[in-house]
Amino acid sequence: MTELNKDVISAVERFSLIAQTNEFIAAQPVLRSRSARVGSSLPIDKDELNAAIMGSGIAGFDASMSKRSKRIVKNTYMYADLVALLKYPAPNQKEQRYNEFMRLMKLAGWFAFSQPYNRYTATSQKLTMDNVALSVLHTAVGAAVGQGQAALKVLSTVADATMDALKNEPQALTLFENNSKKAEGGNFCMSAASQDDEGGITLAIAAVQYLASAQPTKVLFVEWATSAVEIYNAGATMHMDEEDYAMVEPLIVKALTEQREKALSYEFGQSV
Amino acid sequence: MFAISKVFVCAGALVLVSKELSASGIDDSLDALLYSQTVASHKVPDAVEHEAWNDANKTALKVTGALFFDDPVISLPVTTPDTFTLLELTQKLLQGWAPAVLNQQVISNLTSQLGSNGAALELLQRNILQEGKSIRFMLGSVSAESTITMVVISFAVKEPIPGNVLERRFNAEQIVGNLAVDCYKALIDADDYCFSRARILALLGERREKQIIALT
Repeated sequence: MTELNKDVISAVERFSLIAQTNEFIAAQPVLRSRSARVGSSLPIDKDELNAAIMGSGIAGFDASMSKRSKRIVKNTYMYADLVALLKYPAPNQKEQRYNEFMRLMKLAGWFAFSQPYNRYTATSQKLTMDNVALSVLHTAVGAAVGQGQAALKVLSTVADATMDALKNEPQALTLFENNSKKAEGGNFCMSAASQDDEGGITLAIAAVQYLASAQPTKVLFVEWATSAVEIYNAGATMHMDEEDYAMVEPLIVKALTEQREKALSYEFGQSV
Repeated sequence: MFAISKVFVCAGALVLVSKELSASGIDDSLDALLYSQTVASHKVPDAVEHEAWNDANKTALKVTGALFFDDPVISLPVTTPDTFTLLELTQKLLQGWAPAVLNQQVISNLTSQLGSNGAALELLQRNILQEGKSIRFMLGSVSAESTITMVVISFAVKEPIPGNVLERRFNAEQIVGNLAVDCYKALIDADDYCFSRARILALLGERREKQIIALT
């Protein structure tokens, strides 16, 4: 079932809730594991891919996107991911983490059509994680209403092209897979974004969590026996006009900067 | 071939910078490298703890926002040559991994540039030679896209080393224990480094002027 933004909240409320969230982030101690994680969870652009690896997420960008729009996608994703992880760090809190991630994305300015966190039902005995992610993303795109069909079609194309290109980028793939694997399974996020003529950004996200007793060396582009893996997934399609982000941008950039500065000072041996 | 425009001494590292890298890209990369070395040396003051220092160095670089692509340390077969200089050994190590970075011509230029810059040579010497008998030498490059490619060689010798350590020819039998090699490739993405820049500048303070010296 597709769920609309039930609670369209005012800009003032968004600002206030993000400010409160920032207080929560600021109150968190710097943990050694987190300070080491900061670097590996932040985005990069790979021109060959026109995509960013964001920790356990890969974001594909349509050629139409400006640098500014890509930055908006990355910053809102990083912010939502950071808060969700701080609030729900335990391995068994994946669903809460995803819901918190979506809540923060909405506060950051995204208007979202989302599909709830569900167990994935495979239709064959073998599957590949890249196909699972793409099918979740295509479903999310197909279920979205009220957005330009042309823009939505672009998202599916971008996702397919990004996944295809990732196959031929061993360094990016290794980086992505290292971040996606955990002891008994893992999780990753696939997203695709495009921009319309008026600067509006459309984003589709597929979140995949898998549990497996035997962890293979590779996550993507290898076959998994359906019986050996349990998969949960969620998907969403979102839209944003830049002005919806502009108002909360200083708060988001401030939180990301302070988080980084805390880790830098901690590493340097200065009290924070 | 990697087109070098500038060479810097950054604490214990010789850094070759692409001629296509912007001025801000050069500053960011060198600052990140100085930050990571400073943190590692503070956390691991014992010069013979090679692996611990290398781990601390890479962790600190990650905290700046650098994204690591490649960590080929386990795939580099290291057979200590019977006799070598630090630059020769670095070149040998880079041959199979990042051959565009260093060749004989570059080595000759580096040696000559260092020979005519006393302050840079003194800085490098002070950082390479720890407690007279421990060596830690870093040589790397920064590409036009701000990707750092770095090799770190560490080992200890039986007797204190007099004179210019870069000109010193070592023999395998002089080495105490193992020769440690660490290599990495990491990207300093300007969009991401913006979250780090101000604090790194503040933390490094005067160290930037004292410990980053341009050779060209």
